[in-house]
Amino acid sequence: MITTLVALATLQVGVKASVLELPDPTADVVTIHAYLWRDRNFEREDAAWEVISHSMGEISVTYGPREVSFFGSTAGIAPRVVQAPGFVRVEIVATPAKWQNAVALATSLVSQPSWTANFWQDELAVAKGRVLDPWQNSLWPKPTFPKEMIEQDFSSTHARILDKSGISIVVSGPFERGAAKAVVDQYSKMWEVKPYARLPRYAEEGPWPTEQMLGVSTFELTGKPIRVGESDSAAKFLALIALGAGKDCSTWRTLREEAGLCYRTEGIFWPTQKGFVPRIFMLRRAEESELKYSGMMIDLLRKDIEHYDQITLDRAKAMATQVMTKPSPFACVYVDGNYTLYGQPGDDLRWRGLLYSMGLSSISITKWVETLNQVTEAQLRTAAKDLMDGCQFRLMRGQPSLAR
Amino acid sequence: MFASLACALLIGQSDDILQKELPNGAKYRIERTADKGEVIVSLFVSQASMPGDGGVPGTRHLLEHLIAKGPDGMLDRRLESVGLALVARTERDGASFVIMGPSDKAAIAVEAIRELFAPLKTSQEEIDKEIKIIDEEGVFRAKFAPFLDAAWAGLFEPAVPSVHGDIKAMATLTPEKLANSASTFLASGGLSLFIAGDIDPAVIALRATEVLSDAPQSKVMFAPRDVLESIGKKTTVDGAGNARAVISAGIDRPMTLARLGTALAMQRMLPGIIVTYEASCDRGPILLYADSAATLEKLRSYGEDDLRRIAPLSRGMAVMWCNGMLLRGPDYAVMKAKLLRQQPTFNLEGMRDTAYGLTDDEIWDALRDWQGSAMHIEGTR
Repeated sequence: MITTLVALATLQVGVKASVLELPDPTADVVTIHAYLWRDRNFEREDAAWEVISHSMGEISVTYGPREVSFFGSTAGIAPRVVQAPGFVRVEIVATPAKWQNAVALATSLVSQPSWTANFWQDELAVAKGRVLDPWQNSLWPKPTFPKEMIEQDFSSTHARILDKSGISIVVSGPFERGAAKAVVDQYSKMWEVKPYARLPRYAEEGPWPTEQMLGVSTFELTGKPIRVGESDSAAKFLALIALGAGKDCSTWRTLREEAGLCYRTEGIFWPTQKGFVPRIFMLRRAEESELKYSGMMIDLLRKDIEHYDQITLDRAKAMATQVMTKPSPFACVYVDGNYTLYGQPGDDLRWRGLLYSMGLSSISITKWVETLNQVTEAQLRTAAKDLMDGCQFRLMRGQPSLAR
Repeated sequence: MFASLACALLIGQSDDILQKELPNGAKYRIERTADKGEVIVSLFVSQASMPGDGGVPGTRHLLEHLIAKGPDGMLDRRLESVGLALVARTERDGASFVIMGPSDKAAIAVEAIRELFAPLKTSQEEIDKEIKIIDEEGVFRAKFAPFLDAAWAGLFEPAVPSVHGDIKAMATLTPEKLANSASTFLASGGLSLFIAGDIDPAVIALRATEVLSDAPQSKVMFAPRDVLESIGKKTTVDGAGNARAVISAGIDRPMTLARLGTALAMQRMLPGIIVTYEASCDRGPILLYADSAATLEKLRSYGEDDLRRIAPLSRGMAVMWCNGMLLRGPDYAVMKAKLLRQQPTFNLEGMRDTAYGLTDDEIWDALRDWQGSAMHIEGTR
């Protein structure tokens, strides 16, 4: 793959880093989240990203496995690495006595992965062999892997993304404002961005797959990103809850219970650099003639919105409060490619860190829930209609032969 | 009400935990926990109330779908309007109904359980639609499902059938038949109720007693699953892939965690492997499935020298599995309610320590099980 790239960039020194500090004198620990965001999800980098994001966090150029274990676990909690199509996040919880070391470690893990020791060969084999169920494949389809990949595919892709995007560090806990930024600056300036191969001008984000090797077809409505905190965002957020979260939502009631079209239907918020993208799914048995179900899906949802009332609004608010703040079987606000908000320690920091990376005001979950509770019935109905009007439809067809 | 409380068989009691068996055979356990304003209510309906699905495979699964809607079909709306959420599932051990939400709505959550006991009123049209939905659910049955079915069928006497059901057979069920089946299915002697959260156990206990007293009164006979030897057992199924199955005695035994941890480590090390297990304190198979026989053959390549790498990974994977089980959610609540029926003295929260403490010998024995003594299941496609 790398041979098709056209040129080498010049050596650059220093890693761009932005820092969000959230001092909290009442906290017992310091929590650090280090992000590396892709500038764009270029198709030709998808396979490399899959491996890069899954092989980070165990070792870096500066820190060996023992140091990662020591400085990463001072509070008794092991470092955690999570992946999404657009970013990777390293999460470390540290004691107040060792938090600066942990910030330096987190910064190093995302900006200085050691490719020679990072077991990327193992990770590549695992990534190629990973078996996704229909839901996982609908959320984040498995990329196509080239026949051969070499270390340079990963090191160059990582370096290019690091150069374009820099890293983003979010720190919360008992420390003085400015102290976290000082630590990040100290280290990130010392570390260089390695040379990398430029992408050709015609590099594009990959088209969404139109087929999957499963017996399930995925019908999806994808809305415009919700920019939390900006105008109408609260109503749009509640609109997706009304449409797709829980068992009294529009999709469950109309598509499943009334029309009997499917077993699984769901609405989720998907984190991207532009905001939380509303995604409404209907997964059903693959058939030869199945395009008609897309029209049925859209029509049934549009008709249901006409019946939205105060009960719909109250339910959406109650459901939103639960999925934002507590463990819920209908958790639907994804904070990476696999996990949702679930009332867990660190959830508020995940939420605020994502908003920060999206270029938004990093308001707390509590504040956001308060905002959601201000939405009126009329605003909800309008937002739901707008969401449906602005949606793009996509169908990932399954194989009818595999459906039995 | 107080008379029935007085008659209740006291199993265990403290300020924060109340556990009782009622005269009608139903059991409950109520725990006050440090959860901030949360409550979780889980009703477990043992399979023993309707062994063999009453002769029509899938009856319990269909009943679970229909009962969860509530007597007027509006239960979800009532619950979700106040922040509660209900989910239901059917497993080999039994069916479960779990309600989660804010603790100040605990009384509503417990009362919702009473609605599940209401006589089932349904129509043929509704049954037909629900069977259609269950048929759709079938497409989500993983590739390993026929292999898992084969393990349950081949390793137990009598064979334990699939709970998904036979769509054609279910189509013969009528509203009257299902109403009778629902009464059998929800027999009080097979019920166990687990409630945990930021609640007063004594207050909730009064309501739980009343609610469980509304269940159809009936005794249930429990019979342990008889296990057949897996060594040398081979079978074929109509499916793509290959699988190995070993019997686990239940999550209260360290060897179950060792087998699970080792299997999950293999899943991590050998691309293409999937591990599946229905958490239980009863006997059941752990299945290790792969697309190809060659992948499973690689299991044989590991020797004692590899333990230095495999043992910590297996231990770590077992701990991760326990962490998932202990996360406050439906899996945890279902297991806690099951334990009341299966192994009331087992401390689920201590399971993680057992996983941390798995010895190299236990992990080696588990790996040897996967290499040799497991049942071999071969797909014919």
